[in-house]
Amino acid sequence: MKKLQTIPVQDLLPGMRVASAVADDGGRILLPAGAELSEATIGGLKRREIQEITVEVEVPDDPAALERHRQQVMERLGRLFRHAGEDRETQALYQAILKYRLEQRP
Amino acid sequence: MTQLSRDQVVARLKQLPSLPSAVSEVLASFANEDIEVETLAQQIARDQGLAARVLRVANSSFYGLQNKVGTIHEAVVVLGFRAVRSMVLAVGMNGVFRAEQCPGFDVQGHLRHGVGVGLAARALAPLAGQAPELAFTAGLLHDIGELVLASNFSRQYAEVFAYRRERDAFLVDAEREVLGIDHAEVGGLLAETWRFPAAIRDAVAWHHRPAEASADSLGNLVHVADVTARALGLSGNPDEMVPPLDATAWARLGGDWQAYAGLLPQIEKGFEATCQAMTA
Repeated sequence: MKKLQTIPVQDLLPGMRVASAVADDGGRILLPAGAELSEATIGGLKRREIQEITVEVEVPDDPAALERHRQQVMERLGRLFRHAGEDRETQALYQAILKYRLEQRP
Repeated sequence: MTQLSRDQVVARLKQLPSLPSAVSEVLASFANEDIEVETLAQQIARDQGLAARVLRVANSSFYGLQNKVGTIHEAVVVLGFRAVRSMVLAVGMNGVFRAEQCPGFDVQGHLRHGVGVGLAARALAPLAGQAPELAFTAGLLHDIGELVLASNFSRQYAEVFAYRRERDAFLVDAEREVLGIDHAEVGGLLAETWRFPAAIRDAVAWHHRPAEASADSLGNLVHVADVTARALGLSGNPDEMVPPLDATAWARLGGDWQAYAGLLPQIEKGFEATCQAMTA
């Protein structure tokens, strides 16, 4: 999954993706959000003495955390739907809400 | 058991104070599309308390305005007359009922649920081919019958909550069991007394029995929105429970689960901010 991380400019690597636009002191946009860093753009940031920027980094999913999240979601929905019955529509609703909640990562 | 008769409820409704005049005018405008928007905006603006609350909602993240609006006139220009009209109706009802005097009644949870159903009805409105602003207002007001019961029949209604807690029952079932009348019916009677627009009255009266409403009734949409808000646990009430989804109402909305799932994120976005704007 993707996470946002604020990283000192000297630790930036080419290929990282800028999470929010980087501006200089005058408010001029140096890098727009979503831009992919290159050696050249990192050099540019260093020359303008930018200290740190926020980038998107890919971190591997923690299977244990995902499982805990799934358990919590199931428990919460189990309680909410405790008297909802077994009708086809209500079961479909349960599945839709379950899928939606599971996609909201911990 | 303390049964309430329909006549008792109607008699009490007749004694309710009348609505602020700006709110009544706005209500009347639903039946009269020729009304001068400018006249109505002036009328709302004259009720300073109401105008201030409407502007607070208009400037909340609910509408996501880039530039804040400072007057009712501006709000009408930027958001449109229909949106402002819905807001006046929703905001104007706040504080009319003293529901906190009923033991067991969760005032905060009631408000949060109303906002949740309003946002759900607005988000799901395209499925039903309904106007989003009207759907929002109907969702916000759909349980107004609970406020009538909690503020005017506090003692009897407290028995409903005791019964509900004891048996982990649905509120509407506890009401029918203890009082012999439920909040949807009471809300429908209030909507008649206060001459709510027919579409909103319909949603208030039929959201628990949508199959009995007409196919194009807002009652269908508000039922689905009600079930959705509960399934998302928006009220924050630990005893929240999801009622069965009515098959007829769902079919009338088109029965498309994929489209439904795609609309869910919109409901929760801005929920807390809207709750705050509505309470303030």
